[in-house]
Parts: sequence; structure tokens; C-alpha cells
Amino acid sequence: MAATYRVRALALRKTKLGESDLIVTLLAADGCQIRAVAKGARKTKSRFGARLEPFSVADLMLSPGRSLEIVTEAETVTSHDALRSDYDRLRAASVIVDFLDKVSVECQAEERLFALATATLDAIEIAAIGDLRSLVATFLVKGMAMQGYRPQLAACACCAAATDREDVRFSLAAGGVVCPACAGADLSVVPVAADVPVVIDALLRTKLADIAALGVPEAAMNDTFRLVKTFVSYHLPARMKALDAYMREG
Amino acid sequence: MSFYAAPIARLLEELERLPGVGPKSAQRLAFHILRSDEASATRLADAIIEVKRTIHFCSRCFNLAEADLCEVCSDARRDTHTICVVEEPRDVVAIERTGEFRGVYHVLQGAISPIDGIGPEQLRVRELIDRIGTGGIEEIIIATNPNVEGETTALYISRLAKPLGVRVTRIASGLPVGGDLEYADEVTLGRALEARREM
Repeated sequence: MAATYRVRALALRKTKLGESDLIVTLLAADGCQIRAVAKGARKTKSRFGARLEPFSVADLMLSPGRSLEIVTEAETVTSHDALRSDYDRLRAASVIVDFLDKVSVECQAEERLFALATATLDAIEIAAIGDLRSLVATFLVKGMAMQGYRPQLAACACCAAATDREDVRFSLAAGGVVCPACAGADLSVVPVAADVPVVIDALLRTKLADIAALGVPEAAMNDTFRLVKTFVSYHLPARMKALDAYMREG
Repeated sequence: MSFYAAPIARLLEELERLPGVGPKSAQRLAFHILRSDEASATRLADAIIEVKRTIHFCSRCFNLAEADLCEVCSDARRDTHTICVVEEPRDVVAIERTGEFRGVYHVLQGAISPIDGIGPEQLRVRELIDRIGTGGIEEIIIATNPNVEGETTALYISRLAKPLGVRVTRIASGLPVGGDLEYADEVTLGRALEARREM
């Protein structure tokens, strides 16, 4: 029989399997994605209870299966229960786990991703409702940066020349602001408000706990969020349904 | 290439489309049908056709119904001032089995799941709000599942229904009868303590 092993993981999503089982998608503390079967998890008397609900961080005992791991034990580390008692927090947290589900890969470690995810969920639990959008935007730009898509904001992303500070153009393909010469032939260029690169730069440099203190005006944050959403959708291979819903409902 | 005669292969193909039925199960079901007498097979086929032809959604609560209204909505003895909101028609059956509820239902036909791209506009939420808007409703009991999707749906409905002046309640979460306290997870146990009652 294969040896069981212990792992700390954040539950991202769950899929029904058979009569009463679940397949849970997890983000392990080392940043790898794990998919595991939790047998009987949908029964009211299941020993897993809420421990494998999305947003929960748990210490798990996993046993290697043929294609999926099998959860044999689960112990809650943080349930993030406050996220489930407020509709706005829940929608914001859904964007976080949906993003992690799409970018994390099995056996591909990225330890910073787990730390960023849990810190963001912790922050969303206690933040003022008005700051949720800033937190989601910060998570997305930091998360994209960890995946190798850090936006280039200081100079043209194509030729490193200085860019126009008033007439700002952002190339989704090049991943940053571009000068007028480079913008011409690029079909992925979108015009953005002049303060958007400044806000994105601030979000990248600021700790999650200090985001509220930045005091970004609502209009500037909305413009920034729109660009971040377009940037994420452009580069991720799958549709971010939770992010689409978050934008749609405002 | 199929090793079976065309009618058997067709039956296997159709059975495999059913939820939870893989190739092996489909084969077992197909051979059971082949072994049974013709009358049994005809009864099964007729039952499938009949259920598809006669069953539709109740025009008021969206439960499964044979007539325009389901059995609960057409029962004059039910308390129409209280609506119990559930995700699926099978949840109606689960609550009816308790024998504790004498009100009427509203079946949402699912739950909000931002991760799966399921929004309130894909559910029967608007119809519920319209029902409340027509008046005469005193309380809505939200009995969606106690998971992330169910909680999201409950919070969304509560946000829409409360301004309409109705009492909005949520079914309690807690320990299952016959379960062991030591195996309860922290969230469930915490909610059970929160919703404790005087003895």
C-alpha cells in the first residue's frame, strides 16, 4: 500500500463524484495543485464536514491513488468562515480561488502563490467592503507577476523608450505600456487613463494590509480593475468565470 | 469497432450518457435488459417516455409537476404565507419527509456559483422576488445547501428579499443526530453553539 503523506493546502473548488464523494482541487503550501477524492464528503455525517469547503486551509493526510490522491484525514487550520457570511466578500474570494485553480499546476512549485492567496483571503475577511476591489486587483497583479507576467510600467515594454505620460497605451501582448511607435502595429494595445500605470505600480509595491491606506480614488480603481481583468483574461488559457461575474455585478 | 450488434451498441451508448454510468455499468444494465422479458423492457421504456411527456415545472414554485401546479401548490391546506426556498426538486422531497413543514416551496433550479459561471439570472430568483412582491408572504426560509454555493445563494436572496418587508430565515447548521461531537469540524460545531437553544 502506498505511503500516506501530510500536506497543508487551501481548498479551491470541489466537484461532485458519484453518489456522495467529492473531487477537491487544492493548492498545496508549496504552490502545486493537487486533486484528491474525499470519499463520502457530501454525506451529513461526513468526517470532513466543512474542512474541504473552498477557502478553507487544512492539514491533510493524502494517500496516492491511481490518478487522483485520496483524502484520509483533514484538520482545519483556517476556515475563513467570515467569507461565507457576506455576499461581497464571497464574490471577491471566488475570484481568488478561481484564479488559483486556473494558474496552479500539478508538480509545479511556487511557494509565494500559497502565501499570497492565504494573505489575500485573510485580508478580504476583515477589509471594509469598499476596499475589496482593490484587494482583488492587487492579488491579480501580484499573482500574474509570480507567473512571469509582471506589467512593465516604467518604459516601453517593446523598445524601452520613454512613453507618453498623458496618452498612455497598454499592450496586452507585450505586457506593459508602449511608446506611440511600438503601439502602431500592436493589435492588443488598449488606451488607458494616465493614472492607471501609477495605480498598478503602487499595488505591486504595497503589502495587502496597507492597500486601504493607499486611498486610490474609486474612478481610478475602476479603470485599473478593468485593465487588470483584460490583462488576466488575455494571458490565461481558460475563461475566468468568477472574474467575469465579479465585473458584471459591479 | 464495436463487438456488439448495432442495437446493443446503441443501447450501450445511450446508457453511458446517464450520470454515474460508465462502460462497465452500461454493459451490466444492457445485459439485464436483454435477459429480462419483453414486458419488463416495455414497462421501462414506457415509464421513461411517460415521465418526459407528462412532467414539467410547476408554474408557481418550479417544483416538478404533472399539472400546471404541483401537488404542494394545489393543496389548499398548505400555509401559503411561508415559502421554503430550496435548490432542487429533490430537496422538496427531503423536507417533506420530515413532516415538519406545512408551508409552500420555491425551487431555484440550482445555486449561485461564481466559479462555475452560474449567476442569479440563471436561477428562478426573479420569480421568487415577484412572488414575494405580490403580497401575502410573511416569511421565507432559505434551505439551500450549507456549502459555499448554497451560502452565496442565501446571502443574495436575503439581500433582495429583506427590503420587501418579509422575514428572512436560514435553516440551522449543526451536528447531525446520531453523530459524534469529537468528529465535528470547527465550523459546524461553532455554528451549532451559535444556534444553541434553551432547554
